[in-house]
Amino acid sequence: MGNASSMLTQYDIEEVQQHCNHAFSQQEIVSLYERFCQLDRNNGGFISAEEFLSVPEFAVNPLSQRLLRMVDGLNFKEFVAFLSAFSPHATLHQKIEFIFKVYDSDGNGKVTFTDMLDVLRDLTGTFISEKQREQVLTDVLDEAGYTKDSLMILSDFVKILGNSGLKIEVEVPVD
Amino acid sequence: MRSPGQLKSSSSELDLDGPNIEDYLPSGSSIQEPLGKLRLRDLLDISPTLTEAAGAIVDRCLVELICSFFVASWTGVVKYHGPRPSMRPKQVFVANHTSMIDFIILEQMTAFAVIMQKHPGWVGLLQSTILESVGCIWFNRSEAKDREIVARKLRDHVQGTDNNPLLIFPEGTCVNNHYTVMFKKGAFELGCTVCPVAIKYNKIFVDAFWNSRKQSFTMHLLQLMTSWAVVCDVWYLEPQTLRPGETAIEFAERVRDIISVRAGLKKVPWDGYLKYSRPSPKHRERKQQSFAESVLRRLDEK
Repeated sequence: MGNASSMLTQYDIEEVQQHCNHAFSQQEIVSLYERFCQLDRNNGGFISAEEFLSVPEFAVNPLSQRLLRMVDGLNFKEFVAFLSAFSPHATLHQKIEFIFKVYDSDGNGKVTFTDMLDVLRDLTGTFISEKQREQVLTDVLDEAGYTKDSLMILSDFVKILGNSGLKIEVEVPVD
Repeated sequence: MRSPGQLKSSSSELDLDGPNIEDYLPSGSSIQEPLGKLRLRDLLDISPTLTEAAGAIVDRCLVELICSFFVASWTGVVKYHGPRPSMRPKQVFVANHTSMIDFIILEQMTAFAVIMQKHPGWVGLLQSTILESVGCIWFNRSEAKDREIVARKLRDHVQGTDNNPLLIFPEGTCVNNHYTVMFKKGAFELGCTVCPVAIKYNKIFVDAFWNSRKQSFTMHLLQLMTSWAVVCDVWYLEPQTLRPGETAIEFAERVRDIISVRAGLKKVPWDGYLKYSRPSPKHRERKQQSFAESVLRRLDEK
């Protein structure tokens, strides 16, 4: 499907829609495909890390490296599935699950203190000392009833983030 | 992630870069500042940053849109000087390189085959948008293996009689139109005659286009599209061949001299790749700083 061809068939669109659990409308999928082809300059059927980093706003994002690991080499169907957490139709649970996956870089279903520290480091850079970072994280974990050695699983994240009015949404431009 | 490598920022006094990327990247933090004591959920909630990243992936940025209009509506006036060289095999054209539209300007006179480096980062984005529609040969110069392939491709191309004449920009990078930087020697060791072409933009045009610190890139592009001035001069200069005892590098420098003198450009001894090819890290740092400060601030609140 759609590797080198530049036309999406109706069948392709429906398959992609199925795969992302109808997170996007058919029109949005067509738009996403145009965008995908734009980014996939060498027509490899997937967007390479290099091609993602050529989007300036993506390149300056503090979490770009983490996201690249998740998104590098995906074909179009998987690309849309990846973005489905950002659809307004996605459930809160799906969004929290996405965030969890960003933290869980080794994909073993558990988020450790180190994982959380790594993300905090990406977001704060050199503007907080490592020691301060660790202290902050330990303190807030403690306050929430966790310790440094706690291994968080998805349901922990759901509990913590469930009521926070989380908003992850992008609008897919449709002509 | 590929680091900018040994590129130094000492060249920042001279604006060797193209339009300033930071002019159109969203400035400041779009992250809402929640109040009150810092809790675990505040640290774990990375949704604003993720939204920004996804938004960047999904939406075309302003520059791309402007460029697509640019291709359609650009009507500059170009003055050509010098006898148009006859098309012969074993002949390449080299020109100084100021902007992505150099190629379009030269293409008006004759259909060239162009070899250009595909710039990583956002310049590459512009190149692909504008130039892909007019047809270029791309290569990724940073891959060492590619160099051999490219050299072979070039040699094959110039030997052929039916191929479009080859146009090479030996500086390998956009340089503002007041200087030329060192010419890469690749074009000069193909065993061909080299026809130098000098391009000099009208000063008003150049200033408006490149002085992006004073105005946003968007404004420049819009100005460009609506102006009817003489945009630039193109000089076709006398074809040169490698002299006995001359190295490829000396040949390159000699041709660079010829072009620089004709177009009134100053020569600088730098390698064109002094400039970095990614948005400056300070943009990311600004985001990190603002988030860090908000964390620290809220730590103190009880």
